[in-house]
Amino acid sequence: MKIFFLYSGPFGEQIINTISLGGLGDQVSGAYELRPEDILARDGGGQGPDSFFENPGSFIPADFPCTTADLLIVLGVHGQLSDLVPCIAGRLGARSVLYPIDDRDTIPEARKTISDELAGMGVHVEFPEPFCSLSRSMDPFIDEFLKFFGRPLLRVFRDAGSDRIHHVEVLRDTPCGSASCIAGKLAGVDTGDLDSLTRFCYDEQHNDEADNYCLAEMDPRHPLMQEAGDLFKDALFGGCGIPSTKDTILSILQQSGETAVEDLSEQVVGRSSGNGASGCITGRAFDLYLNELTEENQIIITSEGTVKLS
Amino acid sequence: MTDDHLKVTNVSYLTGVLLDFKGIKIREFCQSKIESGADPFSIFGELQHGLEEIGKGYEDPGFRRYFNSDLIVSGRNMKRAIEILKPLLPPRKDGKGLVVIGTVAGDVHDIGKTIFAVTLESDGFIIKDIGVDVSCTGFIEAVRETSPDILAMSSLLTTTLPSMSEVIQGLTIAGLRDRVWVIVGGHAVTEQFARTIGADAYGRDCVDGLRKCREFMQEKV
Repeated sequence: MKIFFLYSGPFGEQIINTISLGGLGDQVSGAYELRPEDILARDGGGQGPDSFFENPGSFIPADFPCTTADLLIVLGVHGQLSDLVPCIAGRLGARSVLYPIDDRDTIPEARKTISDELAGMGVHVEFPEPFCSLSRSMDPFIDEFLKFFGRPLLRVFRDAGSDRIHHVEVLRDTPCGSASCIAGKLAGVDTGDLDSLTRFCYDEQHNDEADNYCLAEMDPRHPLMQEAGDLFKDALFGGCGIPSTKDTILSILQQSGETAVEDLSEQVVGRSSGNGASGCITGRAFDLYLNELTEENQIIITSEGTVKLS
Repeated sequence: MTDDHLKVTNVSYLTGVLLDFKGIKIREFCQSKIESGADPFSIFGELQHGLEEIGKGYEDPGFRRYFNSDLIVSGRNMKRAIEILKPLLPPRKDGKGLVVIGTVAGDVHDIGKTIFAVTLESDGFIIKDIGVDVSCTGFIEAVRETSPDILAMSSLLTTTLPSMSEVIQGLTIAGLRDRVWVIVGGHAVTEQFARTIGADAYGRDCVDGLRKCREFMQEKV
């Protein structure tokens, strides 16, 4: 598999660095920084301001590398430049596109059009939001990528006869590299104290003193960074054999039976740990887990807005 | 080549320094400036131009050029610059005055506030930094508990500007307004806004803010 990165800014650079150093370096066929000012400063040969949207292919920079790739990964590119992605995928001969969204302003303006255009070219595209939420794919190239990077997956080893962590093996790192960075700091942490363990996860996940930290948007109206924190916390709890948010959802449904989604949310969201139970801090993570449990046929969401075990 | 072009090139270089996620360029930049004899305040000043450019690109309603990740990385690099430059600041002459400083509710940006705090501290002010996203009550309680000479409030976001007005009104209601001199600053604040809400001064940047704090303390003496 050959991977090409189309990126902009430090968000893209950090991910390319992590992926290149974390096992896929020999599969990277190239990277190109697409700066919005470089594209929009051009007049499109005097074709007027709308020319970009009418003929984006003519805006592929002249110095764009002549290379090929199976998987095109788009990182932090401005949403208004997204019309270039199908053209570039075509130029590279890409079969799959990973277009993660870690900031509202990178949401492609014409997402549906891009998806349709790529589908017409026989190219599969996925838009994980945030990048580290992606854990499975039907696409062979994205699936291959997910063996290395995506939603964090950890195996935790404790000291013999103790709750203290001896070391953590990172089975799948987050694309930003924060999971392996935090994992390296977990030796000696007491897994018996859930509150401290939880706080450690969330604090370290966006600790900008670390080598790698989460760069997703943190605005309370679009809390992708907080959702990424939930995903890491649950990966660690899962690795420790501590009930994760999904386990908590199933446990509540076992005890309470059919429950309104709103009531379930109240019991899970905002309760990241305590008394052996564990929830999440964002509604986004709750919704994600609910969808996954539905897809796994473990729960059923009814048309009346309730949820019950399958 | 015009002077304007040179200025643009320079700002572009500074943003590149601030957006290097590995932090190598910021260290090289500070080191080369120190070796060329530049004083730490002027280095802060230059970097602030770069930060302002990133802030403008982030807030541009027509076309946002910079994103959340750019703010985080540039903020991290400013912290690196502070770590490098702080030991080089002039020795403290403690006791010039007590300043309570914080970023207003709803705003978690701390770089501008921290630079201003470091600047004041190096000039001999005693600083009580009460952090970011500080509520109106938080500011009032800090003033009540510590009886500072100066209260400094920062806001980077236009959406959080009303919080500054609330704090000043709260100080009046609490009977504390006459006891403390209020200076406001930050990317979203203008001199006119400062006057409108009844602040005593507006700090355009950390050097301007420092000058005004010095003047106030001299008047007080």
